[in-house]
Amino acid sequence: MSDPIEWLSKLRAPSSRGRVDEVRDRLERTGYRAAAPSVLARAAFGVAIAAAVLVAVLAWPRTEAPLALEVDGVPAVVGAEPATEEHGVELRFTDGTNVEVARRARLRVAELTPRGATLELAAGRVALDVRPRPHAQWSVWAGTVEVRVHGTRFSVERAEDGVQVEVERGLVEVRPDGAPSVWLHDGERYPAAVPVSTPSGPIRAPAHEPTHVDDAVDSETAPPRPLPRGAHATMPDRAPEIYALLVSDGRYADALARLDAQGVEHELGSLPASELVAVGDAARLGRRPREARAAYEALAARFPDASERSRASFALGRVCADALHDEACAIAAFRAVVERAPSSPLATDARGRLLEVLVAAERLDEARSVAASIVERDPDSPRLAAARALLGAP
Amino acid sequence: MLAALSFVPRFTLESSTALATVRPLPFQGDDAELTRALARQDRRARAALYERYAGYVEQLLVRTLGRDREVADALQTTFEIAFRDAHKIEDPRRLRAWLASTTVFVARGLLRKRKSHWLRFFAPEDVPELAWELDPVAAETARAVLRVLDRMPDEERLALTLRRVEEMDLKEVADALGVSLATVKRRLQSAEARFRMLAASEPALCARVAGEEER
Repeated sequence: MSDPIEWLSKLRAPSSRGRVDEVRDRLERTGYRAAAPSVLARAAFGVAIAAAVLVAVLAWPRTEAPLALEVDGVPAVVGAEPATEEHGVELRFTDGTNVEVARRARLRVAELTPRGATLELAAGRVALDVRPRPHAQWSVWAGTVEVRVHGTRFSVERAEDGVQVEVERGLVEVRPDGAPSVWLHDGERYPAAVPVSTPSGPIRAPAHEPTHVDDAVDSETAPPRPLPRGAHATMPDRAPEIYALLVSDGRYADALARLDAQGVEHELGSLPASELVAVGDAARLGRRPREARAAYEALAARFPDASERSRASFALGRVCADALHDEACAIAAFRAVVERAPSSPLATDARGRLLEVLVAAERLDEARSVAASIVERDPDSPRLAAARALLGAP
Repeated sequence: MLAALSFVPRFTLESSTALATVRPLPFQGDDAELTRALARQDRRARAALYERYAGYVEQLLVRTLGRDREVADALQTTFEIAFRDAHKIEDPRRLRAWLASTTVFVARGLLRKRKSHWLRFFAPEDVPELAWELDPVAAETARAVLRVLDRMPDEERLALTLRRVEEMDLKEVADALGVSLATVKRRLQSAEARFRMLAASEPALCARVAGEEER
C-alpha cells in the first residue's frame, strides 16, 4: 500500500446510533414534516398568489423572505463588504436589527435568512443591536469563533491576538473552535466572562454616550469602547433561558452538556419553571430519562401552581411509560394532567395514554373508568375505538 | 375485543393483554414503491425512508462534514428536504443515489457557511478509525490522512471521499455532486494529485511509504 490514496479506503467514519435515534425523535415530533419550500418554489408561489390575491403577496414575503439590509441608507445584498477606510458605517436590517461597523473594520454579510444573518468579521470591531424575536438566528464568525445571538446588544472585536465579545444586554453564545460554548449575559465578556464594569478590565474605556461607533476612532489602535445605552428595544424582563433556546434549536446534546457542567442538582434546584421543562425535554429527547424525570418532578415540587405543570406532567408520563417502564409513575403523571384541566386538549391525550398504561398494568377496572371518560368527552380521540372495545360498547 | 379493533387495516396490535397498543404497520416495498409513496406524501413512507437510509446518510455526512455537532442537524435537514422534493425523482429506482446528492447538497451548504476547517472539529475520540490494525502507528497514520484531507479544498475533498472512502462509482459521484462525468474525472485527478503532494509533507505518511517500500 505505497500509494497514499489507497489509505483512504481504510477510513471508517464514526457512526452514532444515538444521533440517528435523536433525529428520528425530532422527525416524529414534527410528524415527518417536509422542509419549507425552496427559494425558487417560494418565488413561484408568490407569483401565483400575486395573480390571485394581491394582499397575500404583500403579506407573505414579510414572514418568509430573507431579511434585507441597507448600508448607511443604501440597499445592499448578500456578500456586501461595507467600505470603512474613511469612517464607520451602519447596517440596518428589515427586522429592526442594527450593526455598527467601526472604521477600518472588515465585515462581510455572508448570508441573509428570514430569521437573521451570518456576518464574517475579518478584522476590527462591530456592535450589534439584534431585535429580540422568537427563533431569531444571528451569527458573527470571527475566525474560528462563532458568536450566536439570541436578541441582544453586544459587540465583537477581532484583533491579531484574538477575539473579544462584550455583552451590554441580553444573551450571547460564543462557540470557540473545538471548545464548549460560553454563554454571556448582561455585562459579561469573552474571553474573560467578568463584568465589563470591572475597573481594571482591559476592555472597558471611559463612559460616553455615542449612538454610533465613532468614525474618528481607529479601531486598530483605539481600545474597545463601551456600547451606547438606552436607545434600543428592551429585552423581556425574565432571565435569559439558555436551555429553552437550545431545545428550540434541537441542540439536546449541548443542553445536556451544560446541565452536566453546571451540576444537575444545582440546576434543578435553581432554574425557573420554564427552564426546568426545557431541561426535562432535552433529557427526554437526549435519551437520559432519569434526568428528564428528575427535572419534571423538580418542577412539580418547586412550582406546584406553574402554568407549565400540565405539560411537564404529560411529558413525565411519557418518560415513565416509554423509557423507564414505571407504570405507577406514568399513571400518576397522566392522572395529574387530567385532574388539573380535564377539558384541555392535553387531557384528551393524557386520558388516551392513561388508558394504554392501565391496560398494560392489567388494572382493568380503572381502565374501564378512563375508557368511559374517553367515550363521553373525547369523540376525536384516537383511542375512542379502543375505549369502546374495552367497554364492550358498539 | 381484539377483533373489534382489527378493522383498522393500517395498524397492528402489540400486547398480550385484553387491549393492545395500536401502532402503524411499517411500510412494505422496494425503493421504487417507496419513492412513489413519498411522492404521494405518505407519512409511513417518510418514516420508512428514514429507517432505511438514516445510517447511510449519517455516514455520508460524517465523511463530508466531519464536525460532529452539526451532523444531527444536517441529518434532519437532509430528510426534510427529501420529504419535500421526493416527487422530483425521475427514476424511482435511483432513490439511494438521489438521496446521496441531497446529502451532498446539504453538506456543501454547511461547508460554505462554515469558514473553519473540517478536521478541527473532531474531538479526539471522534477521529475516524482505520479498518486495518489498531496500533499506535496506524492511528497516527489515520490522523495524518485526515490532516491531509483537512488541507484540501472542499469540492476536491468531497469528490475524493465519495469516491475513495464511500467507494461510489464515477457516475454516482457525478450525480451526488451535480456535475458531469468529465468534471468529476478532472476533479478527482486534481484531488488525487493534491492528496499525494500533501501526503508527502506528512512525516507519518512518508515513513509508512518508506517502510512498505523497504519490505
